[in-house]
Amino acid sequence: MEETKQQSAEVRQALEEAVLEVLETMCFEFPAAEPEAGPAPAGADLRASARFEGSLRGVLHVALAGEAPRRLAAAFLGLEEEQVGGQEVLLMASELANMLCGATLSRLEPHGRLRIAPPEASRGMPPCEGRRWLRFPLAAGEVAVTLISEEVQ
Amino acid sequence: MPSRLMIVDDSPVMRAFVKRTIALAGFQTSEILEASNGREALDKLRGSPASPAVDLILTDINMPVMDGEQLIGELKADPGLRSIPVVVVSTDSTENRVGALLRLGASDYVRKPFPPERLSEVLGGLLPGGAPPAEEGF
Repeated sequence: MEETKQQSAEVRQALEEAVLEVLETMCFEFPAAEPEAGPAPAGADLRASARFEGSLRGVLHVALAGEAPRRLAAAFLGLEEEQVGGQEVLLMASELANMLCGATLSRLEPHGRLRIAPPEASRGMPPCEGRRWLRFPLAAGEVAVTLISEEVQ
Repeated sequence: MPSRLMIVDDSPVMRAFVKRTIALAGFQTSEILEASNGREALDKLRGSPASPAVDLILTDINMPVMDGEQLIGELKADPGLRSIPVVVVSTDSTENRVGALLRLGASDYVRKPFPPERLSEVLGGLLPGGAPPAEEGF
């Protein structure tokens, strides 16, 4: 579905508010600078996604670069960064995608009927080549998100 | 008196986060049971020798095997379990969904992400001992 400029602005605002809310309330993390739209972060090596369907349909992707995965997982779990294992990082990334998806959709479609599928996380560069991502620099590393809408049948 | 709680969520990191939030808020708990879906929760509750099995249940909605909505339905249909307060903790927070869950019998709803104070406020209103003293809470 081709987004109009107004839809794009609404999606960007919803994503921005959702990321700030999730980082602040669940990870006690504040971005180091204003978010910027651009390509996927070059150093991203962890990705997670959550599909949704109902009155809206699509998928939200999140990409984490640098020290962000371990830093956010440690804050989320109340551990030191050295205590966080690879499996905990993946589980945290899945939950991050789940929360970001819910927080974004509740802003875009507060009266809608939506269901979020179990999120998935994996190592590696994010998909969606050519997509624009909303990128949030952290004190160490980076979080980036993008939302892909699909036509509701 | 310390409370017995149950957390139902398929995400182990979210269960850990909720447990830590409850402890940091100063709530005294004798035991926190965990389950990764509604079916596992029901099995543990029905197998418990305690009465009531727990003082309060915190449950996610979107889970495999048996989701939170089915779990609430089963709990409210069970004479031995229907009086246990159920708090939904979920990202699934459209008005329609929240309204349906409250009508089904959920006592309250906490939308993820949530500030620790929100969970503390809800638990304080539902647990037998109420909220912990201010200096122990957030």
